[in-house]
Amino acid sequence: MNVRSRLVVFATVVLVTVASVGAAGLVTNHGMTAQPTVDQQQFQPSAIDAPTVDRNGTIAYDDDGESKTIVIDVAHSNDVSEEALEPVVSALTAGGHTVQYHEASDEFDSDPAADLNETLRGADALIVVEPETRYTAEEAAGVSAFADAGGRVLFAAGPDSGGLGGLLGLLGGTQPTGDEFAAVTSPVGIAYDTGYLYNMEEYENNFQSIYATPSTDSGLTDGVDRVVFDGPTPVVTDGQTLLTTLEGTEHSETRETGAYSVLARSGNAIAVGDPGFMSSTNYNRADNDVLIGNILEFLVTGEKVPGVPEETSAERDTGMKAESAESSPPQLPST
Amino acid sequence: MTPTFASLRNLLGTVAKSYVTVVIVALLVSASLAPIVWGSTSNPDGTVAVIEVDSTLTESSAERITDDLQEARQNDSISAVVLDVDSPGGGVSVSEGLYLAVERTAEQMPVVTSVDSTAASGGYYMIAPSDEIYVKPGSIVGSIGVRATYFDVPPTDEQITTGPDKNTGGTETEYKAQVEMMRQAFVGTVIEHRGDELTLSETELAYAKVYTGTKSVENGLADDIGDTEVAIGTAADMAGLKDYDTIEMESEPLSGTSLIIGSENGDRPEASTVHPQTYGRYGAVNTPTFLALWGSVDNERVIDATELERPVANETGGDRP
Repeated sequence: MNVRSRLVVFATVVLVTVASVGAAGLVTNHGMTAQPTVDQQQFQPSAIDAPTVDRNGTIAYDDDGESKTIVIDVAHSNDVSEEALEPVVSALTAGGHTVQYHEASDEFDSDPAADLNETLRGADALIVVEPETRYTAEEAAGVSAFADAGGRVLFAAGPDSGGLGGLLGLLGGTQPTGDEFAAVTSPVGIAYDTGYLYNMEEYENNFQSIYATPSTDSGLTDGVDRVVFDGPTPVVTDGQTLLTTLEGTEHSETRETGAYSVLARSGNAIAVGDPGFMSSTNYNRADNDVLIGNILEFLVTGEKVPGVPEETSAERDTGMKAESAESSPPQLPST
Repeated sequence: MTPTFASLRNLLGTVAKSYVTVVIVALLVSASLAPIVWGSTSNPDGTVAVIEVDSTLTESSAERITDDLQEARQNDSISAVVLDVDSPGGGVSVSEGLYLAVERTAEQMPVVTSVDSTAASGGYYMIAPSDEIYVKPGSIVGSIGVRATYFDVPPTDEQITTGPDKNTGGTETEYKAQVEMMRQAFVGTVIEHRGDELTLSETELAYAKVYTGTKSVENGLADDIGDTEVAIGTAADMAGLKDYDTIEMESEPLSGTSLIIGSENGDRPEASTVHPQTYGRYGAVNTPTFLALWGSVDNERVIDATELERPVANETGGDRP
């Protein structure tokens, strides 16, 4: 065998071996990787029910043609931002009514009750949102007298007012705040619960964005099909329940299921369990605008007796002191 | 040829032809071949890979787990996977990605989960496709829900933006809707994979409660009480392995995947510290975050659903398609 024939044998063996391996790879499909896919039905957009928020409507209301004065209390560390009441303030102002803010006096010897009473004497309606300091008995008596005399009152507060707010108030070193809202709502027959309401079965876009429907025929619920509240707190009254949540609503603390009252009226005072429904971001959801219009109509159509709350003897004394102080040289407060 | 040489040759010829010699040579040859034959007949039928999930679920910790799962799928010697889980969850998308990886693996081989302390929220999301879920009586399972952090930072006079939602990404209402959609996918996944076992309704799942191991066996979130050894045995049985090896799959922090056979003490990266982005912390920049997490995060800006005035947050769980 010569060298040439040996080379031929060598090349043939190499060729056959490599070709065989290549053919085997093709036959066994080695090296092919399946294309991964995501076919899970629950992940497909068609399986997801994207929540929608129905927004439309404007606040409209009727009045008796008189310009009324509506006082908004901001003297009790009220947790009320400009946007929280902007739609209300705008609608009242556009209707020719006067909105007045009652602020705490920064004078050293001021009497908060006397200041509030003085404000209320010139007012037709009062709005109190989320107070974080407690009304004194004298202040509460003034508000109660105001309502008894035909002044219209709107209380609005969420879950924090009675429970957590008290704790935070203590931690923050402010005045004691436990049950602070009850101090002023209880004398007019209204009480706020603690905790918030939610509904795991029927809600708008979050389990706390729940619906409430009229529970009785009333001017305050006229035209209202359903309104949306965000985690409202229940409101109880000795008067009339106006709006209740849907059956199946649960209480965050008791976990009891039911239809809870979230808008109630007692005499000339009404109370709502979520101040946020009036805010600029929520006022036109569902029928919130209709409800707000009804509430504004309620506020501006009262017939309040002038001069109430009347001056107490203590206020008269304070007033005389103030007058005498004006006519005499400044004095250091006695200790 | 001398007589001596001739007799020696005859002797060697006789020896070579004797049966004793043949037997000796045969034994020598057998001794060299026997180990090969022994190995081919007595080696385990296959291998059960144990993948440990013992941290919060961040992009970095999830990368290791998905690499391990991919290795398990591609390695022909691995016949089943056991997930040894202790996790309260983490990012929503991270949890969803792990779910897909586990599901992909479960389509190819048995996947059995053993829950150590916790498989909550995203930690449950990822194990939902498991063929079997074992828990200890005191394990914590559940938290099927999502939460989001949300920043209400409107454009200010100090900056110019090209749209009203450039800073926040959307309104609070829109964030609520996004969280709700993630919740639906999470709950839908759990229903899909555990629907036949669950005694909880979809609504009950959506409460996002956690349950003890004992309770979770009753309500169908888990299958039985057991530990990792039981899970390994079940996985092997489901894969038809009478005799099997167990390997613990592991990887070095931020490096490639490696197999460490018989080792149980490899150091693992502390995922939550190496990937703060999962929690919306991109260096000096913070972003809204969606979490499938049970528990609180240090300095997390979270508002619960009752206080959606500034920021928000959410959680998820798992299922089987």
